[in-house]
Amino acid sequence: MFYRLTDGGPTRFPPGIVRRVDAVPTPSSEEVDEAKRSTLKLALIGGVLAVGGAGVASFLRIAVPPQAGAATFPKVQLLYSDGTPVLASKYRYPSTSTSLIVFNYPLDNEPNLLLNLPSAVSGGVGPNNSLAAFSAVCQHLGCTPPFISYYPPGACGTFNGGAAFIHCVCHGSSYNPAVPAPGGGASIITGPAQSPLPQVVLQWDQTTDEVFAVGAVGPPVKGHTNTLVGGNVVSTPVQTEAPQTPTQQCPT
Amino acid sequence: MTEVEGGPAAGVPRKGGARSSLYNRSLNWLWNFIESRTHISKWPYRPQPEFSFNPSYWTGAFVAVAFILQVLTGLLLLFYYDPSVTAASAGAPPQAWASTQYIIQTTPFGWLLLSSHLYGAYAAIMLAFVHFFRGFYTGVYKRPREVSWMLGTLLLVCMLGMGFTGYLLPYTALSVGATDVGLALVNSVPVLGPIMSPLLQGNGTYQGLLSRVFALHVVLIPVVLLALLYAHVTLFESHGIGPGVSSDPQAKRVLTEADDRKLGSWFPRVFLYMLKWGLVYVGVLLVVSSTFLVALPAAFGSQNQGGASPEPDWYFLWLYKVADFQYVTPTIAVLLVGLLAAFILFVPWIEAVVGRVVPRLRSLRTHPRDRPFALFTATFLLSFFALMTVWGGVMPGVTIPVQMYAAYLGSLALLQGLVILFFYLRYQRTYRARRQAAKGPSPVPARTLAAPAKANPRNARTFYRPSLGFWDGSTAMVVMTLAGLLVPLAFILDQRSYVGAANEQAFGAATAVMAFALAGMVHVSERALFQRRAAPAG
Repeated sequence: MFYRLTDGGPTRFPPGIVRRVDAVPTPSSEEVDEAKRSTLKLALIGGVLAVGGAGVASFLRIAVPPQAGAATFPKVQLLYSDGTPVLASKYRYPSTSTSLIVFNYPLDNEPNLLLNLPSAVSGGVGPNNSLAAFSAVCQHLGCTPPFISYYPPGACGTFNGGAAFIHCVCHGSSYNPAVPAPGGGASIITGPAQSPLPQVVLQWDQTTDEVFAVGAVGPPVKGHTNTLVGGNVVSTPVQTEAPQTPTQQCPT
Repeated sequence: MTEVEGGPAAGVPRKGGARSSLYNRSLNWLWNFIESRTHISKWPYRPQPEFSFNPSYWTGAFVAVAFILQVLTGLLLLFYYDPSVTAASAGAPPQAWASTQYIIQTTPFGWLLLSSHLYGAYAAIMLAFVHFFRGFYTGVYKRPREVSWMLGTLLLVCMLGMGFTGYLLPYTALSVGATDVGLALVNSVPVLGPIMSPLLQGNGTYQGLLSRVFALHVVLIPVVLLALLYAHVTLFESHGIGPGVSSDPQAKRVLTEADDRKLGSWFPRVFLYMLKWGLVYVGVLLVVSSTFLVALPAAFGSQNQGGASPEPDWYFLWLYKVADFQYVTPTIAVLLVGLLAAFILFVPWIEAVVGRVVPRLRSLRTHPRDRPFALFTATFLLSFFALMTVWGGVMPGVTIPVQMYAAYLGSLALLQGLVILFFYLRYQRTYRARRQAAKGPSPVPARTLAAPAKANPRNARTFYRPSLGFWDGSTAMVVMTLAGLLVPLAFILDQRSYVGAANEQAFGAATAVMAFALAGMVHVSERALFQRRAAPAG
């Protein structure tokens, strides 16, 4: 039922007075201008879509904040958690299979394993070129310590020919720190990871024996489109975390 | 002694008699007061048919009760929880973990509260799965309940979302690890992943992540869940309860207003029934929570976090194990999950399409024996979830070669398919034989919704018509309830700070006893009011 205002009434009404309306019959189908009606419907749908689209777009604008991050890799000195500097010739971690030192670089949610490997490695620093740092974020699904950790030579029998390796217990990905992947980083020994583990570029000051992190090679850290985006840049100098006990479980 | 107004129905022997008339009188006074002031029996909820008063018809109500309880316990936890990754002082664990530990160690009965929130979440998800599979097997999603089914599927997704977001909040090594994995999976979703991921992660820092996950867990997902639940329950009310399985293609599928008029009011029958089972649920939850108080694992980033096992909670173990499969990259894993969700969402129409290809299967028959396709998919899905969960639990993080999982799942599907096909063909043979013998249109009598022929005493003005005597257990229940009430009251009135397992467990047990006693009392009242009596001979 449609209603039509009766003519002649004032435009404003004193409170309490209700304007009288007359019922008019529903227009029969001959009276309806179908073209006009379709145009109106189209306009209505278009309007709803436009408003909805604008709403979604502005929601995404508000809900997706600018990503924290850095433009370039900072150069930071590595310190122990008690504030004393890491000295390359005296760095012994991981001395056993159950202690591990982790530091965040270049962002505060990108942990890395600082390893003194048994022999010289690509990108290694220190007197034996054996000090190296690898991302502690598994490239498969992003597991971090204690789930991803370093296994010293012989820790798991003849796995990886008895040499040292990095292994994530979440889904069993293993990486070989001694064999660099073509684009840089530790190569994959066993899946399900699809890309190598990024490596942090270290710099060693021979005169003071101090160690600095200056960059990264290999794919972006898992969970980041770019290693430099998606977190707060670490403060300088960066403090490592105290030795941790990782979760270790040999790959099968 | 005076009789209660209305008196017992003629011919019904009366138990207890005079001894309980005060009890009856008080309850009648209470009922009349509530009814006259609120007109509760006229509220727009529908009465339910006699056959539905069986817990198997109320699996959804259990989920709703579990959800309401989660809201209540969650709101209390919100008083203390602090969603911050920064430490209160240098060297201290993050506030998110420390405030959770505070709830356990310092808040009176906080340990019980936190434990019941955890077990309540497990129960809600488990009950949601029970509700889902019950509906799958009994074909409740068939016309006209397709939309209810889709809403229910979305509710299940929301429940799992609540589980996922809630897992991060204590901020243990395990919960951060699991959230990292979940985010990596979200990131792997083609096209949508890069849009959804920053919505979850914020600016990329751990604080950004925790703030957003907290907002999702506490406000956004619950609001969406409540809206969906409202729509789900409204559709339930408009269609009436699912009529149970039937082999009759013409079986009545909805309750009409005429049926409602025969059944009387929803109150107190439906109310008492749900109250009873709700109280039983509360009691069981408290018994479990106080028996197995949860320990908080080590904080994320702490030195003693090692040794933590990387598995997610049991309701995501199946997905965790699928990610272990050889060649199942994260992208393939999330695509499989999406495919599964789409299948469940559209199963009412998928079953209809299958029915078009094999015309014999296309009908409104809801009995599983008439729906081999649904019977097979539901059984395979159930065994898939069970197998994957157990597999993920006993062999976490072990890559499964393609020939192994193909052999396991393939032989499972083949075996189930063959068994179901064999029984279906056998059933069809006997069905056709019986049909031929009967020469009728359908050998199965049309199932109609049972409606009581006689006027029911619940329509009478007096609430407690049959007298409840001491030996009905009602008085004993009242005594137990009061005793049960006294224990928590004593705890509350006593101003000492009750922390430590023994106090929490005593409190939990006392409250559970009270809940069970109340449930028993409701049960006795219900039985006295509504038990079906044998029809008089002749």
